[in-house]
Amino acid sequence: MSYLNRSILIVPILAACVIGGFAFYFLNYEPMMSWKMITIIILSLVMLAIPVYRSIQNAKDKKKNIPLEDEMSRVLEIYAGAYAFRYSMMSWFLIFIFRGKFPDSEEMLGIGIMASAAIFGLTWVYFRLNGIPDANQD
Amino acid sequence: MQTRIKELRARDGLTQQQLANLVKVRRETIVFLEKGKYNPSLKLAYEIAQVFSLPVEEVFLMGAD
Repeated sequence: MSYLNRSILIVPILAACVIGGFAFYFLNYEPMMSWKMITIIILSLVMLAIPVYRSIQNAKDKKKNIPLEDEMSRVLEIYAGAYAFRYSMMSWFLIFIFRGKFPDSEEMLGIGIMASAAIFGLTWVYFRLNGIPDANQD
Repeated sequence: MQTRIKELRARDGLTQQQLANLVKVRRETIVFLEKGKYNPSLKLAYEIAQVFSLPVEEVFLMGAD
């Protein structure tokens, strides 16, 4: 499956999950509306906006016959993924140490998942700005 | 590793986007290569060298940094 076809499939699924999640929440827990929930809603919308923006850009690139991914973008994702995995493990270890500070385990898991996603995003941006390390360097 | 891509592009009057189209990569890859921030695969290095009609070792300079 090509990169464009994948994003065409993923974006509506993501949108359906986010909208479905909100609908479920508002139907069941609407009186519990709080700043915490508003923050989660804003973060979810931001996380939805990124793939939507990327798929629009991809469609524009496709029209101009620009490849949507090439060897460098794939290497960049592999490096970002590898480093993000290492730092995510550290973040989960820290979360485990401070588990007593969280009001409940659901919140702890939510923060851990968001931290892992943020770490991947940050490592991707880091390598995008600083270049990919030379694997042949001593 | 350093490259002579920028110099050779100027010689042949190619833009980064034109070179990227010729070797079927994104323009960002050419930018990264010119800045020495990415080591290309053997295939890409060979294709770029072919565009400039030069051997690979005359485009990519090993141990030049």
